Amino acid sequence: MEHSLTALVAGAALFAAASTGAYAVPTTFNVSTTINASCSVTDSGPANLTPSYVPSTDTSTGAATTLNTFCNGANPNVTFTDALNSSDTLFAMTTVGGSFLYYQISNTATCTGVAGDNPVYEDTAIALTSGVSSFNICAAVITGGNLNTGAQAGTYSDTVTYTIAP
Amino acid sequence: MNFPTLSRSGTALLASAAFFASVSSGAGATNTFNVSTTIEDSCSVTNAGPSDLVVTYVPTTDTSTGAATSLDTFCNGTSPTVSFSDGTYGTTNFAMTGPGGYLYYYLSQSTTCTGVVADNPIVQGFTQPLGAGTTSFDICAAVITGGVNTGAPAGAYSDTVTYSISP
Repeated sequence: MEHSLTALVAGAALFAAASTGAYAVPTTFNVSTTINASCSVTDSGPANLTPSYVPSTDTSTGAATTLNTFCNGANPNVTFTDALNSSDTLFAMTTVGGSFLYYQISNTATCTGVAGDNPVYEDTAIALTSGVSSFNICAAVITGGNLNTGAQAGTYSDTVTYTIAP
Repeated sequence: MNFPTLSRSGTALLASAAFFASVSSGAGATNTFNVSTTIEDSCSVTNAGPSDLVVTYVPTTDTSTGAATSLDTFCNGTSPTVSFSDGTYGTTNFAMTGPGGYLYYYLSQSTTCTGVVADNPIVQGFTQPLGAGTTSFDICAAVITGGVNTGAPAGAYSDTVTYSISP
């Protein structure tokens, strides 16, 4: 009799517990992600630049292009370097023979050359605007100081590497 | 000669004796009583529930890698269902929130979890059939690609999805 009663009580408790499952109980799970800062170039990248230089008059006409980006981070930046890898604002085009023609890069659309533009330093981070950005790039051969006045006729070229940090 | 009178307790004793005699006259008859119950439809989740899902998304390339889990259930009814909602929209768009506002994603019933292109997204609040008996309902989450999220700023995004099982 005592065993039967115990079993009955246990059965009743089990039934009560099972009955709670008759109702739909909303429960949850989480969906999450962490988006890392990144940048993309939103067009084909900066165009090749062809500035002009006349040694006899030591005059240069700069050429401009843009670096169009989208960056989702708060503090994106860009650096520019070439093979000269100077620690200052000098970039250098070279001929096949190895002669240098020094020029500078600046962040300007008007591209008025050395006198009016603020040159960028090689391998030094320059702030890009967060979100959609259009960074102006001007290249102009350096005038004054006879730096390039002895340049020989010929074709000079240089490859500039730009590195975007998001 | 005086006869003794019956007290109140004596009356009750006589009445009980008469009742006992009545029941005794039915000896050998079969009497019954009933035991019954109604089992209602119900469901139980037979695992720990769906795992939290951590998806990836790169706005600059507009690419997402989905994440999958499962809702394992036992239902004794014939047509159990489940619905999902995060309380934001009545469409297929679910939304995580983060520093830039919303980051939209899909839920789909998929194991391969190939994302928006190949999976059929679930509409918020709409019932999806669960199988009767023991069943495993696959759940995939993938950030929507195609332009709606490309401006998302860097940071942590999250959302809580409520699933409701109807037995």
